[in-house]
Formats: sequence, C-alpha cells, structure tokens
Amino acid sequence: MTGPVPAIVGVGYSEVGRATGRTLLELSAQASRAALADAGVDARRVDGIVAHCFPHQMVAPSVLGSTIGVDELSFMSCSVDGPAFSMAVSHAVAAVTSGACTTCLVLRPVLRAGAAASNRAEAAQFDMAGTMPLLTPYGYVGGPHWAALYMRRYIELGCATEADFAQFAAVQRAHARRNPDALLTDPLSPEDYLAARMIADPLRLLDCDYPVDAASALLVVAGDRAEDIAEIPVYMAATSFAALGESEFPLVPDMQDHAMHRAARRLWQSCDFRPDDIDVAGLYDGFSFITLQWLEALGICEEGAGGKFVSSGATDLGGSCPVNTDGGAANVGRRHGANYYIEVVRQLRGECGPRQVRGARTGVATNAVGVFAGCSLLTTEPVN
Amino acid sequence: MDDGQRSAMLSMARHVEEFWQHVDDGELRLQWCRSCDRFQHHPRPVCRTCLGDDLTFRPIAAEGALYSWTVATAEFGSELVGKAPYAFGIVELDAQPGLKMVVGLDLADADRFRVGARTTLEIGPVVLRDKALVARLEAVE
Repeated sequence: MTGPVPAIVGVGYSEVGRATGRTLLELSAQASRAALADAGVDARRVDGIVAHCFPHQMVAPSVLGSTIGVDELSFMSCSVDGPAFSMAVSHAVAAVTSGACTTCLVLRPVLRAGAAASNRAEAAQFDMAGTMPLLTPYGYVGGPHWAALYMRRYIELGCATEADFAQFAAVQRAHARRNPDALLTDPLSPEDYLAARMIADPLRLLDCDYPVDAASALLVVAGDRAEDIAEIPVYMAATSFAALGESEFPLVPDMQDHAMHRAARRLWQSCDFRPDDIDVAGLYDGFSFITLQWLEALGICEEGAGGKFVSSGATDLGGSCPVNTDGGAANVGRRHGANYYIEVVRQLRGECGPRQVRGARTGVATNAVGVFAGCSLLTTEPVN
Repeated sequence: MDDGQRSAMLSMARHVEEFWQHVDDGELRLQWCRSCDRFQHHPRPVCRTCLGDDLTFRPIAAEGALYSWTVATAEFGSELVGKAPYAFGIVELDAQPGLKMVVGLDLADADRFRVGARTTLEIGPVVLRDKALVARLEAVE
C-alpha cells in the first residue's frame, strides 16, 4: 500500500424483495443515496464508482454517476468476473489507496429474476471459459452442483456432519430473528433444516442463499479524510484477493485449499491483526459450506473443525466469534457479498441493537470460494 | 444481433468439440501437449504449461479415484424436467496427478458412492447425452 489505509464511512441498501419491480439502475440509485446519506456526503463529492455485476445484469458506472448527479469521476470500473462484492471492494481499495480517486461508491446490484441464466445466450455469458459443453451433458448446471460436490467432500473428509449444517442453519435464523431487515424470520430448528428439500445431495434448499432484488453500497474514502466525515470510521486494515490458475469450480486442484485459503493467508500477511482479534465475522454463505470453510481458512477455528465449531455455539451471539449476525444471505437475501461488509460495519459502529456484539472493534468480511475469493479486515482501531 | 449470429457465437470451441468426437467414436482421449508430454483438461486453446499450440488428443488410461460426487434431485431448466434423480462426480485420473474430470455416475452403484472409491471410466449414456463418460465404481471397504 502506498497511501493511508482506506475507510468505510457509509453503508446502505436499496429496497429489497423477491420482486421489487425496480430496475437495476433504480436499485443502484437507492443504495447509493442510502450510503451517501449514512455518510453525510453529497453525491457531487463522489469521484469514483465501482460495481460488480453479473455479466447480463450490468450497471454502467458512468450511467449511475449521471443518475445520482456526480460532478466528475476520476476512477470507475465495472467487473463481471470475480468474487462478487469483494471484487468491487478490491478495485475501490486500489483506487483510493493509489490516489486515483478519494471518495468511492462501491456497488453490487442484482435482480432475482434472471440471476441464474434463463437461456442459452445468457448461459454463454457466464461460460467465460467456453467449457460448459463439457459439463452440461451430465446435468451439471453450475452453482448448486459445484456446491454439492465441495460439500460432499468436506463432509466425507470429516470436517462437518449433516447435523452441524442443521445447527448452522438454525443459528443463522436465530441471528435473522434479531434483524428487522431480514426477510426470513420464522423460527427454524435443526429438524426443519433436515426436512427441507434436497437439491443435490448433500445440499439442501436451506444451504442456499435466498435470491432477491437488491442493491448494496459502501462509501469508501482515503483514511486520512475519514475522521472528518464519519463519527466512527471503519478502517480497511487489509483487503486481499486471490484467483487460481483454474477457472472451473469442480476442477480446482484441492477443494480444501483453494482461492479462499490463499486470500485468507494473504490477509494475515498484510496486516498486524491475528485471528484472535476478530470480534465479529461476516463470512459468505452463498452456500452454507462456504462459511464453514472460511472459519477454517481464516484460522478462526482449527483446520477440519468447521462443523464442530458451529455446533459448539461459537458463532452464536455471545459465542467466541459471532458469524453473520444479520442472518446471512440465507435470510437477508442474496446481496451477493455486500451484506457481510455492511453488517460488520454496523457491528463495529455499535448500531446493531438486540444483535449487537458488545465491544466489537475488529471484524472480517469475506466473499466467494473455489476459483476466486476476497476478504477484508475491518477495524475501528486507528491504523493510519 | 440476430439468432443466427447468436448461435454462431455459442458454437463450441474446436477443442471442446473434438473431445466429444472421440467419445462418440468410443474413445477417451484428452488434450495433450507434444512439447511438454502433459495432458490438460478441460482442453484449452494453448498448452497451459508451455503456452504452445502443439496440442493433440491422446488416449489416456481410464482408471482413477472418485474425488467427489452428488445425486441431483432438483431439476433446473426445461432440459432436465423429469430427469432427476441423476448422479455425477469428479474423477482424478491415475495417469497424471491432479488431472480431474466431471463424469456421470450410475445410480445403480449408489451404495459405492464414496470419496476415494476406485473407478474405471466407460463410455455410456448420461442424463443429457447418449455417449459420455461413466464411472464404474469398486466397493470401498
């Protein structure tokens, strides 16, 4: 890093729902407005916009800038490849740290309808390697199927049991029931999890995130300006990204040591914090096993002990490391990575009411699995 | 873009098409670099070791071990309606460490679905293709 560590000074969501009737641009404008209002920053001061989008659901930063009335941008990017929201975060951190811009909106808009490709033309846009014709004859469709393959191996290697995953779903729902913004808040027992529909053995419906229309935004600024803007700036002490030399999820060299593990190692190498310093964690739960693998990869629990750690109560409110205190994407909806950042920021600012982790000063937010992954160490301790 | 242009864009890369041609001819052949004497799968436009394009498809021993597996029960998309349950997995081939491929599994072998199960690949029907790779599994003790 060349400049001061960047800081998050604003967070916000659009309206969120199964079918909002809103366009991606409307949702993006709503989320931007919410993050700017949260920071108390005028849109005319924004000089950077970065977004991560599905390839067929792109929101152009230049169009969003024009929509919200920026004066001039000195940096923008729109990624369609990479680990969801954390890819946009990586761009923002690089841009702000290098001085390419000073005040950067970071967006992740997604529509539920069509988020999974609904026709061959859309599917081809996802098939960046052109290799889906080697997989589709076997009935392989992508997400839920690679997830099932990773989860099966994780279980058979002894890292978690079906009962641990049932407990994980129940713990996440208990978190969601303390979050007024959660969409799924009915009580959920481990038995309810086991009774849920099997998607691809061992992956059940309740191992998957909940698809919604949503846009999410952060406002990231150069750290030396953060204190003038925010009462409690949240510093991004480290942000790391890794992509493997294999782009197909089922074919990664090792399903127990992949991009996530590399990103996690690099995170600790690039800051002075240690796993023990983490008071609260937002760990990607696009599929449940991913959260358990992040616990191991980050060293929050021992290698091979993700399941036991969850079942011990450690990730509950009051446990040694509360995880996904908003309820996770399984319950707040698929914000595709942004909710981990936003919830950890709110925790570190002490804004979480009945789900507040007392005295939380340092947390971690993570995204994705397998071929690419990203994560950030977030803290209210001044690091500049 | 009209439909014709769109479907031209969606056509399979030649190296992907060639893999299936060999399977249709009853043979497991994987892309192999003459310079490096290495297989790669999925096939690529260049050798990922030397970046050369002296690539051909070469027969490979069809033995390996089951790396992971699943039984799909939900049906995604119109092509799969009425097709579930069906099973597939990942096999790591003995011939070159780390060389893996997605293959079909026969539900009749379901009691043998275990990570590490020894397997031989055969050419047979899978859920959406008459000729593809199917793993025959040995029982795990």
